[in-house]
Amino acid sequence: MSRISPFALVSNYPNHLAFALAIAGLPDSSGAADSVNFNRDIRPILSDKCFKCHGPDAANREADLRLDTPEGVFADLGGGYFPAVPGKPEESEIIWRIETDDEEDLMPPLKSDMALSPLEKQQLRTWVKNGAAWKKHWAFEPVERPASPLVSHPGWTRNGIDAFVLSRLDNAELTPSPEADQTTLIRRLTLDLTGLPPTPAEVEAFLMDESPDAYERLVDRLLESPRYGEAMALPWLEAARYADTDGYQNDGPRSMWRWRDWVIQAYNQNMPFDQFTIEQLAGDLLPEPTLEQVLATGFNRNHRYNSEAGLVPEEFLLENAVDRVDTTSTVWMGLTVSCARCHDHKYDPISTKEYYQLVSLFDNVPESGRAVKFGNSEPWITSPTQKQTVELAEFDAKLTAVLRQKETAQDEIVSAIANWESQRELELEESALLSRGLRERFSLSGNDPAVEIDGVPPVFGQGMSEQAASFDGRSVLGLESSASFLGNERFSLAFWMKPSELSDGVIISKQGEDSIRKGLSVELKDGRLQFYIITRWIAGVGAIETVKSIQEDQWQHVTLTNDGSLSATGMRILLDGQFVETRIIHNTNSNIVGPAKSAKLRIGAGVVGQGYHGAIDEVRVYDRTLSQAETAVLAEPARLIAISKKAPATRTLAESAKWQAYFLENASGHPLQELTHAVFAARMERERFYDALPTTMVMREMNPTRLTHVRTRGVYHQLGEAVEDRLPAILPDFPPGAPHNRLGFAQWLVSGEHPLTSRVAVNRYWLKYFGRGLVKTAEDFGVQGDWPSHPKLLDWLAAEFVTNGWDVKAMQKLIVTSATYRQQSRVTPKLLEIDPPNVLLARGPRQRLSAHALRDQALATSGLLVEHLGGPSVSPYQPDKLWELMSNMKYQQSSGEDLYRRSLYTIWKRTIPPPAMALMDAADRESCIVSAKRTNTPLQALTLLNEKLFVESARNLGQRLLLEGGDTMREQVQFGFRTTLARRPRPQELTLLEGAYQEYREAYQDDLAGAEKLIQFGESKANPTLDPRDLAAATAFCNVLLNLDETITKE
Amino acid sequence: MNQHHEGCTGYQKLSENPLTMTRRYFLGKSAKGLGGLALGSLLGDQLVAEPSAIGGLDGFPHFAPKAKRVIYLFQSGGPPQMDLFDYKPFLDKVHNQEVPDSVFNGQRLTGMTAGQSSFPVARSIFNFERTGKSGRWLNTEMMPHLAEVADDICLIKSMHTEAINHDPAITFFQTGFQIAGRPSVGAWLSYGLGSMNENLPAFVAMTSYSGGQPLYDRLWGAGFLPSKHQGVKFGGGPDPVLYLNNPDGMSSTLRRRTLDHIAAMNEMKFDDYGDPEIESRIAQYEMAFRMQTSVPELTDVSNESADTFDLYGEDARTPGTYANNCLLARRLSERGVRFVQLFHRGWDTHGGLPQQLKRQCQSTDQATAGLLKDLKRRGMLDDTLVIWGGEFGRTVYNQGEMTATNYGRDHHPRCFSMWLAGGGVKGGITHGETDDYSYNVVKDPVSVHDLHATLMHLLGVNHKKLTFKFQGRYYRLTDVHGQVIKPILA
Repeated sequence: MSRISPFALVSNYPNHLAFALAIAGLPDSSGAADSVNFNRDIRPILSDKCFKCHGPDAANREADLRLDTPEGVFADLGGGYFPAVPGKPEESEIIWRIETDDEEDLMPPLKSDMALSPLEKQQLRTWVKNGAAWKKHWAFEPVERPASPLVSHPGWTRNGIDAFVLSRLDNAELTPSPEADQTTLIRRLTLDLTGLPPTPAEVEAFLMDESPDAYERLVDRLLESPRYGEAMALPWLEAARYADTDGYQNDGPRSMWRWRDWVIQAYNQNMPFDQFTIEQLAGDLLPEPTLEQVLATGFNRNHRYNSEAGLVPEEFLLENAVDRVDTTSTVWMGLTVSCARCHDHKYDPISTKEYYQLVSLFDNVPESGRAVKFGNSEPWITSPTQKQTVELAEFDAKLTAVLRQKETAQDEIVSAIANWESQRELELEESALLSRGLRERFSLSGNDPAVEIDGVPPVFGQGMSEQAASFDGRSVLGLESSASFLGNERFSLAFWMKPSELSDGVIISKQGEDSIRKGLSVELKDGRLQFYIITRWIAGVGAIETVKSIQEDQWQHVTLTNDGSLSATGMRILLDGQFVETRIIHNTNSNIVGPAKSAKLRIGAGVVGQGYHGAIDEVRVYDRTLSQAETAVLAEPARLIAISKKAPATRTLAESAKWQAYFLENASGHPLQELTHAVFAARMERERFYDALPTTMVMREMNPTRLTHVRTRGVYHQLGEAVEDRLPAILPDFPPGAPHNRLGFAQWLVSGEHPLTSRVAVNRYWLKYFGRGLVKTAEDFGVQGDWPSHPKLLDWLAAEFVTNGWDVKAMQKLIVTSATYRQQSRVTPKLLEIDPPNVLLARGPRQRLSAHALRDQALATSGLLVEHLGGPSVSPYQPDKLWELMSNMKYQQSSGEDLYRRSLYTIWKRTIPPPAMALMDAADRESCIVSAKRTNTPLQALTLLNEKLFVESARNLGQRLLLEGGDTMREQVQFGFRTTLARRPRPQELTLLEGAYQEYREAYQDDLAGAEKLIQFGESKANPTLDPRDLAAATAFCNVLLNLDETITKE
Repeated sequence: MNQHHEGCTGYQKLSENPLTMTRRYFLGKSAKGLGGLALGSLLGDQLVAEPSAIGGLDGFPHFAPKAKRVIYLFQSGGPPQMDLFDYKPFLDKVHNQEVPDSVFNGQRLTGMTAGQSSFPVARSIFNFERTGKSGRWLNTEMMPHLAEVADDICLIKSMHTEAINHDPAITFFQTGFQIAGRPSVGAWLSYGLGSMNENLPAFVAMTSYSGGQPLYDRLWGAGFLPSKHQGVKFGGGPDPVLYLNNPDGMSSTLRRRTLDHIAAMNEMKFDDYGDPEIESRIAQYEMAFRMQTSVPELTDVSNESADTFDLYGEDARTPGTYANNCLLARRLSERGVRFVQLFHRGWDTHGGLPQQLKRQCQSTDQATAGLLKDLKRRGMLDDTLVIWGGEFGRTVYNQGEMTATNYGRDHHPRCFSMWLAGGGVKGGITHGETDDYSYNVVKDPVSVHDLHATLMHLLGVNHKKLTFKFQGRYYRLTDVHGQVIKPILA
C-alpha cells in the first residue's frame, strides 16, 4: 500500500505559529475567509463577556439591557441610545462602550477582569459594520442536511463524510494523510469496535484477503461480534454514571448489573437509537411494558443516593431528580441545564422555571429520599436473566404439578381423614399445628421461661388456649428469644389479643434499649394496630398501620408478615386470618440491623412509652412468610380436641381446614403427608430461588403525583411557585399526540425534529473514534460550548442518522469506512505546527487506549481473558486493604475465572474506584461524564509496569512465547510482537528486542530465586514444564512489550 | 514495509521546535534539565508543556505569597468545639436544661436527632485553662501539647458550613460544593501554582485510623481539572505509592534495563510518528523510575533523630498512624510538596463522647503540636501554613444517654472551631465568637468559602482569578463567594 500522498498538492502556506492559533477561527467551506460569522465569532464573545450581566438571567440583569436576543440588541433604549445599529458602529452604544477610554463607562467593567482583546473588539465592530446579522444559536436551529461540498480531489473520498473533511482541508491548503497500512487498520478497527486487539490469525486472514470489499467485510464481522456491545457500552456506562455502590458515606453496594446487561444487549441487537432512548427514559410508561423495557429505565436510577442517617429526605429527593435532569440533558441534548437550578441560566435561554419544569418530569418517583445502605432502594423490580426466567418457570411448573396432584387427591384426603379419625386414639397437640418454619412459640400460660423486666409481671387468666397473660399498661413479660426480625428477611409474628381498652401503647416488641430502638414493635395507636421494623429511630423505620380501628374487649388473631424486601410495602397485617387494609406510615428503612441477640422479647410493653392493656395469648414466630390460608388456620379459635369431637359434617369450613392442615402435617408415614411435604418443599424452593434473583432499581410514577415547585436559589426547602411538566421554550414543543410526561419527553427527544439529539449523539460517536468531537465540548452544545470544527459535517451526520432510522451500527460503519478514519496517524512537522490537536483531521486518530482497553488487551494477548457476556460484577486484584483503610467495607476479591473477565465487569465502588483504572483516567462514575480524559503520568507508568494483573499477563504472554512462539528467541520475539502489536517488527526493532530478551535470559540464568518469585504473580499457575529462568526472562520481556507506547496506543 | 520516512520529513527539522525536543536532546542536558522537562507534565500532560517551568499557570502567583506550602490536618467526623476550644462555662449553669427555642431559632436538625423529644444541654466535663500569652482558654486536659504552642495558633471560633451530614459536608470543605464532581483544594493549587519538586507530586494526601466515617477518593480528586492535579495518596508500609515497587523477582537493575529498552523502542516510534505525546511518555517512565528511589527515601523515617520522636511521639515510627503522617508531612514539605493533606478519622462523637475524645486526642495532640514545633525549629513555620479542623461542629444538646460522665453530640453546622498557624497568619489570636450555647455565631462569621479564599490569599492567589472553564462556565473553588479573613493576616 502506498504511503505517497494520494494526490499531489503543493502547499506553500506560511508556516508560522500565528496560523496555528488562528485555526479555530478558520472558516469552513461555508464562507469567505474574511467575513465575521455571528454564531462562530460574535456570539461567543457576547456570551463569554456580556451575558453574565446582560443575558438570560432576568434576576441579575444590569441596566435592563439584554444582549442575548435580537430584541435586546436592537432595542431603542430611549434618548437616542441603541445597543447596536446595523451598519453604524459609531451610533452603536456597545461599540462605544467597548472602545472608550473612560474607565467609568468601559464594558466589560474593569473590575470584572473580563477585558476584551483587540481582536474581539475589532470583530464586534466589523460585525456591526457588516449589518449586525443575528442568528439563533446554531445548535438550537433545526438540522438541515447540507449538500456535499465541491472538493479538490473527489477521488480521495470514500463516503459522504470525506468531502466535508477534505473541503475544510482544501481551505486550509492541507492534504489528507495517506491511508494507514492494513495491519494498522485492522488493529485500529478491532480496538475501536470491540475494545480488544486482533489476534495474529485475524491479522493474517485480513492481509490475505485481496477482495475489494475486504475492509467492509472486516467492519461487518466486528460489528457482529458480541464484543461490539461491550465496547459500545463502556462510554454509555460512564455517561450514565453506572456503578455498583450508592456513592455516599460508606458507599454501600447496590445491584444494577442487569441494566448493564440490557445496554450491552441493546447494542448487540442494534436497537435503533430512538427505541434505545425511549426505553431507557420511559420504558415503564410504555403500554404493557416488558420486563426488559422496565429494566432499561435503570438508566435514571444510576445516580448516587445518600443513606446517611442524619439526612433530610426532602433534600435528597430533590438531588435525585436534579441528577436525572442534568444527566439526561447532558447525554441527549448536550445542555448544561443545571446552571438554571439556582437562577436563570446565565448563557443559555433556560429559565429557572423551565428547569423545574424538567425536574417535574423526573421528580415523580416513589422513593423515600434515603437510600438503603446495603442493597437496592425503591422502586426496584425483580429482574431475572433469560436463563433465570426459564428456571423460574420450571420451579413454577413443579409447584403447579404437585398442587394439582394434591387437588386430585382431595377426595382421598377426606376419606383418609375419616379413616384416621376412626382408627386410632388421637393425641392432639395444638403446638404441632403449622410447625414448618416455626422458630419460637410462647403459650403464655405462665410456664414460658420468663425474664424479670421492670418488676411488674402480668397476670395469667383464661385464654384462647389454656391460659393467657393479661397486662395493665405497666406490666411486662420478658422472654428469651433469638428472633432477629430483620427487614431483609422473611418472618411472621402471630398471636391472639384481647385489648381491654384501646389506649395507645406497645403490645409486643423486641428492641434495643438505646435511643436507636433497633428491632420490631407492634403498637396500638388511636385504636389502630401498628407494625414497625426499625433500624434507627426515627431515620430508618418501616411501619404500617391498619386503616380501621381494631375491636375492643374481644379476642382476635393477629398475624404480621414481612417478605424480606426491606420495604414497608412488603409488610402485611392479617386479622383473624384475613388481610386487612393498611397504610404506610414510614418507609425509610435503609439498613439491615436488628435487635441484639440478648434483647428480650417484651410482651405487653416496649422499651419506651406506654404499655398495653388487655390479654395476649399464643405468640408464634416464623422464619417465613405465612400465607393467608395458613394464618386462617392459626386464627381458627376452635381447639383441635373440640373439632375432633364434632361429627365431620357439622364442622365449619374453617374447622375442617384446620383439622385437615393438622392431619396432613402430622399423619406420620401417610402417603398424603409426603404429598403435602412435597407441596411445601416446592413452594419453599420456588421462594428461595425467587428471593435470590437479581433486582434492579427502575423508574416508576407515583400516583397521585408529587407536585414540583421552583426552589428559590436551588435550596430544597425554599419552595417557589408550583410548575407543570413542560419543555423549554427555545426548543420545539412535545410532538403532536405525545403525553406531557416522561414518555412524551423521550418521544420528543427522538421525534427527528429536535435540533440537539442527533447532533449530540453523532458527535459522541465521532469522539469515540477520533478522541475529539466535531464539537469539542461534547457535554455542552449551548451558547458557551465550542463552535463545531465541521458544522456541515456534523449536520450531515445528524441528518443521516435520523434518515437511516437511528441505525447505530450503520452510523459506526459510516464513520469507520470513511477515508478520513482510514488515514495514517503520523504527525508530520507541518501538522504538528499547524494543527497539533488534529482539529482539521489531516491525519488519522492516535490515542492512548482507555483504562478498560489497556487491561483487556493485556488479558487477551496473554490468553488469560475469560469471556462471558454480562452478569454480576466481579472483583479482580486490588492492593491490600484499600477499601478497609478508607471506608468500613472489606474488599472480597474474586477467584478463578472472575479475575480475568473484561474490565467492563469490574466492580465499581464510586468513592474508591478500582485504582489502576482511576489512574488511567477512567470516568469516576460520581456524575455523568461524556468525554474521557487522556493524561500521561508517571503513576500510569508504574501501574503498567508493576500492577499484579499486568505482571501476571506478561508472564502468561511469556509462557505463550515459550510454548507457541517457536524455538529460537528471535521467533519468540516476533511472536510476542505480532501478538501485541499486530504488525511484524522492523529489523532494528527486532535487533533491539532480541538483544533485550537475551539480556534478561542472562540476568535470570544466575538468579533462580528471583525467577521463581517473578513467575508466581497472580492466581494463574506457571507451567511447571518450563524452566523458571526462561519463563522469568520471557516475563520481563513481555512486560516491556506491554509497556511500549505503540502497545498502549491506538494508531 | 519500512518506508515510513516518505510521509514525513524527518525529525531533524522537528527538533528545532522547542516543544518537541527528542530524548537525545534532553538526555544531553543535566539531570535537572531532564527533571524540568518531565515536570512540564509531572503527573501527566497532553501534547504541549504548560507555560510555566514548574507546571503552574502564567501569572501565578498573583502577588507575593506569605506561605509557600500548606499542611492541612483534616479531622474527619466533626470535633466538638465546646469540648476543645470554645470554652463555655455558662453551660454548667444550664446543664441538663432544655436548649431554649430562641437559640434554635427554627433551624434544621439532622434526621438523627430531629425526632428527639428533648434537647438537654450537655456541658463539657473537661478542664479548661488559660494558655499562652493571650490567655486563651483551651482544654488542656485533652490537649496538653497544643497548649504549649498556643501562641502560634490563630483560633477561629466562628466557622460555619451549609451541610449537616458527613459526606456533603466534607465534600463541601474539600471542593467548595456539597455534590461530588468539583476539584479539591489541593488540585486547584496544583493547577494554578504547579509543583516545586521534580520528583514528587504537588499534592499529597494521607489517611490515618481505620474506623469512623469513611473517606473518599474525591476528597483529593481533580474533578473536572486534568487528572494530573489530583492528590497522590501516600500510605505507610512497603508500597507508599500505589504500584511503586517492582514485582518481586525483578531487581532494580533489571527494571532499569527494561526501561532503557522501552525508551529506545519509544524513541524509534517517535522518530517515525513525530507525536510529542511519545516524548512525554518517555519522560513519564523516567519520572516513574526516579519516584521509585525518591519516595521510599522520603517515607523511611528511621534516620530521624531521637528528639524528632520526642516531638511527635513514638507513634511516629509506625506507618499509618497520624503521628507518622505528621512527620511525613514535614518531610514532604521540606522536599517542596506544596499541599499536604492529612485525613484523620474518628471524630464523630454521637455517643460516648468523653471516651472517644480521649482516644482521638491521645493519638493526635502530641503529633500536631510536635509538627508545629518541628516546623518552627527548622525555620519552616513562617512560610508553611498549617490548618487544623473538621467538616462541622457538634451540638450543645445531648444525643443519646447522658450521665455525669457520659454524653454524646450530634452534627452541628452553625458554628465550630478551627485553627491556622504559620505562613502569614497571626499567632495567638482568636477570631470570631459564638453565643453562650456555642450554637450560633455572634461575631465575625467565617464560611468555608472564606477559609478557602484566605488559604489561597496566603499562597499569593486571588481566589476569584483561579478559574477553569467547564460545561460552559468558569468555575472556581469559591464558586461566587468567599472573602479573605483580613483580621487574621499577619
